[in-house]
Amino acid sequence: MAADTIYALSSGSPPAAIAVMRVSGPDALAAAATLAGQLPLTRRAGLRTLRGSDGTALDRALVLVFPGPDSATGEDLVELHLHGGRAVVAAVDRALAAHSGLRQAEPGEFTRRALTNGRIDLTQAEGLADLLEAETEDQRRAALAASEGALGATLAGWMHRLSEAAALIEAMIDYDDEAEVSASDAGMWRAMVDNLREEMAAVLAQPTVERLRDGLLVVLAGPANTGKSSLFNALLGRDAAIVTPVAGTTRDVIEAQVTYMGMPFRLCDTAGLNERTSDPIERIGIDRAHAMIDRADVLLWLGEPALAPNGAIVVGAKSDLGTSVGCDIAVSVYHTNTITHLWELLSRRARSSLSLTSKVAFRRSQHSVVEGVAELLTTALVGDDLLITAEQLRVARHRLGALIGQDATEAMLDALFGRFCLGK
Amino acid sequence: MKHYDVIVVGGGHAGTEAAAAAARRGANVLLVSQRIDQIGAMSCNPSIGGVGKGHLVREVDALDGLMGVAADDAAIHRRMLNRSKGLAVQGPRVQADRRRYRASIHSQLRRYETLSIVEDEAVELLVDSGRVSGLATATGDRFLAPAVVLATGTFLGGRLFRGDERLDGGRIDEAPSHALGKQLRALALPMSRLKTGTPPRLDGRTIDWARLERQPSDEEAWRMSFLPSGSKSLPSLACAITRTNPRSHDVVRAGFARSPLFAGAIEGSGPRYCPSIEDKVRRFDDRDGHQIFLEPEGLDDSTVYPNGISTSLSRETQDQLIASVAGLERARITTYGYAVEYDYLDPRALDHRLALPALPGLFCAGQINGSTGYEEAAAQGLIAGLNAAAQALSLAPFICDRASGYMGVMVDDLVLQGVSEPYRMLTARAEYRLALRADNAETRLTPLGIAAGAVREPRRRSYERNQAMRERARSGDLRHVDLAIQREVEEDARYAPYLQRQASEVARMRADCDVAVPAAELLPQVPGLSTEMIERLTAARPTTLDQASRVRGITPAALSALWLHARKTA
Repeated sequence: MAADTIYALSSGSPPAAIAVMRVSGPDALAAAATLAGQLPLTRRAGLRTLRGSDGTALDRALVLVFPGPDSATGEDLVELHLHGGRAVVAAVDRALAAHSGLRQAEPGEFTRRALTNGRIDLTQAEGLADLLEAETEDQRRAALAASEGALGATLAGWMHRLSEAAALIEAMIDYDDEAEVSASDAGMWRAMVDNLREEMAAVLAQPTVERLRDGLLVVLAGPANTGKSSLFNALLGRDAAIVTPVAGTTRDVIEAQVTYMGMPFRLCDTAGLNERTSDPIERIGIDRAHAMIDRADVLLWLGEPALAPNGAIVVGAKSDLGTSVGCDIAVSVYHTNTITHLWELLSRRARSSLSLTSKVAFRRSQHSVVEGVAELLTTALVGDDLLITAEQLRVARHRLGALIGQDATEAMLDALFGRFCLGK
Repeated sequence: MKHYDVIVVGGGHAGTEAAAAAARRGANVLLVSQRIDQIGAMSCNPSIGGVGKGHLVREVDALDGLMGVAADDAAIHRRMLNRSKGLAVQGPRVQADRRRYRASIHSQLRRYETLSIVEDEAVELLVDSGRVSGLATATGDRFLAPAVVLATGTFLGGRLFRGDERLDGGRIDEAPSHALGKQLRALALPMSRLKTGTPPRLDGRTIDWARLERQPSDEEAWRMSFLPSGSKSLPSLACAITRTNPRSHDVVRAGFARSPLFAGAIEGSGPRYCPSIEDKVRRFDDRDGHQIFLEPEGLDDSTVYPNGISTSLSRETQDQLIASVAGLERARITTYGYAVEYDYLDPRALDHRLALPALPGLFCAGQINGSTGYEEAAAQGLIAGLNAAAQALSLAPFICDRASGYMGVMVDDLVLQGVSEPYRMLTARAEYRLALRADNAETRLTPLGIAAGAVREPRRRSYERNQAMRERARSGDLRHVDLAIQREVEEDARYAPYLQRQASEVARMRADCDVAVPAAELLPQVPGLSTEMIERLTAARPTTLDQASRVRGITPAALSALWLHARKTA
C-alpha cells in the first residue's frame, strides 16, 4: 500500500549522545547504501563512514539492516545510529533528502505502517506513540510496558478472569437443568469479581500516561510584584533543569516544560492577582490565573500567608529582604541553594504522586473505560438477581473486550465450555 | 414443467417452516422431500425447547409457525427450566411424542391450500443467467420458481460413522443427496464440513426404572403456543436420570482406538455444547460420572432416548457402555448411536434474509448454514421462507434485528461471524436478554408478522384479544386477564429501569444501521484500514456500521476509519 520510502529521526531531539535515524520502505536499502557503501549483514551492526554525495564524511555510524516483512514497520528498514550532535543529524538528514524517492516521515507514520502491516496492534501502537514523546525514565517505562504488551497482558488477564466469573453465572442460566455448577461453585463468582475490582482500583490509582508525560503542574501565583517571575526564571535557570519553551504561551500565563533530575514538570507563571483592576485585558489574565490555581498539582503561593489558598506551599520570595514570616519555605533568587531546596521539595512531591508502583500505566482514555468497568463490577456485587448481575458483567465484558479487540461473547463461551462439561 | 413461486428442498424443521411461512405470505409453494413419511421427523432427541431454544419456539409461534403448535399437540412431559429465575431466561421445554409430532406437522401443512408436496430427490438447481430459476429432480421432473430454499439438514454429502463402519446417508437408513452437494461445491461456494452425533436408542421395557431417580412433568400444563388450546393435553410421562460411572469411562477409553472421532476419520468440528460421551470422557478426565437423561419417545412407543451419551463408538463398545450404567444393565439397544459428518455453507456468504447474494434467488436455512438444533432450524426456515416469498412476490424483506428477537441474534451471528462449530442458541448470546423473553415473544413479534402479511386470521384475532388484556393489565385492571399475561406485564415493570438503559444501546445500534460500509472491493480505499481489518470485513461483508461493529476482531480504530469514510463520502 505504501509505495514511498520515508525517513526520520526516531530518537529524541539533538543534542544527545546518540541519534537514531530510521529509513523505511522499498528504497531504504538503496538509499542507505548510497550513504554507507556496502551494507552490513542483515540484523548485524556494522560501523560505516557515512558520506554525502560529494564524498565528504558526515559521521562514523552504526548501520543496521532489517529486511521486510520481519522489521518493526513490516517493510525494508535501515537504522543509522549517529553521533547525536545537531550538525551531524542535520547533515545526514540533508543527504537522505537528496536521495530521490525519499521523503521525511510524517509524525506517527512509522507506527501507522507497522499497524497497517500487522506488526503491532492498537494498544501497542498507542504505547509506541507515547514512547516517541516520552522524555523521562518513568514515562519510558510506562510506554515500553504498553508496547511490549504488559498493558495488553494485564487487560487480557482481567478479561479472562471476568469471562470466567461470567461463565459461572451463564452456566447456571443456560444449563439450569444439568446441575453442572455445584452449589460451592455457584457463589465463587463474587470472590472472583471482588478480587478483580480491587486489582483494577490499584492500577486506577496510578497516574495516567498523559500525566507522566506532562508532569506535575506547578503554578506560581499571588499578587503583583511578589517576585513570581523572578522565581519562575530562577527555577528554570538551575543547571539541572532542562527547559523546553512551550509554544503558544499566552501573554498572561507563561508555561514551561521542565525536567528536573529525571522528573517532568509543567511550570506556570501567572498574572498578579490584582482584584480591583478595571483593565479588561488584565481581568482576563487574572481569570486565567484563577483557573490555573484550580488545576494546579502544586501551588506556590507568593503573597500574604493568610490569603494563601488551601494546600498551597507559601513561599517567602525575596527572603533576602526579610519577609518570610509564616512561610513554608523561604527562597531568594540570589541564593541558589534556596532555589535548589525548592526544587527538592517539588521533586519529592512529584516522586510521590507520579511514581509507578506497577509496570502498567493507562492512557487517559483507557483509564476511563477501566474506571467504568470497575464501577459495573461494584454494582454487580450488590443485589441478588442473577440476571441483573449477568447484565452488569456483560456490559463490563464488552467494554473491556473493546479495549483489547476481543469478542466478549466468544471469550465467555470459551471459558464456559472449557471449564464445565455442558450439553447432553 | 410446473411453475411455483417458491420451492423448498427438505422436509425437516427448517424446510417445513420455510414452506409454510412462504405460503402464509401468499406464495405458491412446492416442498420437495425424499420421503414424505419423514416430513416433520425429529431425528435426534425427542424434545423441543429449553433455555434459548424455547425462546426460539415461542418466536416461531408468534410468527404463526408450526413448531409451537406441534410441540403442544405431542407434549408428553413439560418442564419450565430456570423456574426460580427471572422470566427472561425461563425456558419452556417439552418431551414430544415422536409420531404425534410428525402427525401434527403433516396436518398443519395440509391446511395450506397453496402448498404442495412432492416425494423426490432434488439433484440440480436450475440456473438461468446467473439467477436461480428452479429445480431438477432425480425422476427427471423440472420445477420452475424464482426462489428456492435449501433446507437439506445433514443430507448434503452426509456420511455416517460408527466404530469402523462407514455409511453414506443424512440419517440412519436414509440416503444422502450427493448430486446437489456436488453442484454447490462446483459453484465455488464456501463449503466445509461439520459433525454431529446421536446416542443409541434403548428398549424402555428392558430398563430397570424402579432403581432410577424420576423426573416428573410440571404440574401446570402450560403451552408452547400463544394460540388458545384447541386439543386436549396428552397424558404425561416421567423421565428418569442415571449416570455413567468410572467403569463406563474405562469402557469408553478402551473404545478410543476404534473411534472415528479420535482416529482422524472425521474432519468436521462438532459442537462443544453437545459433546459426545467420548469427548466428555477425554476432555473431563477427572469426572467420575456424567448425567444421562432417559427420555421416552412416545406414548405408544417403548423407545427411550438416553440423552447425554451421543457416540460414534463401535457397536460392541456401545453395548458395554450401556451395560455399565445403573438401571441399564439389561437394557437392549434398538438402534446404535452414530456420528454424521455433512457439508455446510459458510453462512457469512448469506445476507440477513438468509439469501445468497452470489446466486440470486437461493435461500438457505438450518444445518446447511452451520447451525444445530430443531429450534434453530425452524427459526431460520421461517425467516428464509418469508424472504423467499418476498423475492418471488416483490414484497418487503422480513428482517428481525438483534433487539427484536433471538432469531435476529442468531441470523446476525451466523451471517456476520460465521461458525467454527455447529451454532446453538444460548441466551448468553443475546445482549438484550432482559427484553427478549419467551413469554413476551408475541408482543415483540406478532405485530411484525401481521405487518408482513405472514400471520393468518385466527392468530391475528388471538393477538388482538391478548393485546386488549395487556392494556387492561397495564392500567391495573386484572379482571378477565389471563395469568400468563398478568405475569408478562408484571415482569415488564420489574426490569423497566434496565430496559430503559438498554433502549439507548438499541437506539445507537439502529442509528449505526444508517451508516453504510463500502463493498469489499472498495475497502482498500478507506484510509486507515489495515490489511487484517480489510480481510475480516471482506469475509463477513457487513453493509452497515452496526454490522461491522460485530464482526469478530474489528477494532474501534477500524470502526472510526469506516465512520470517517462514510462521513466524508456522504
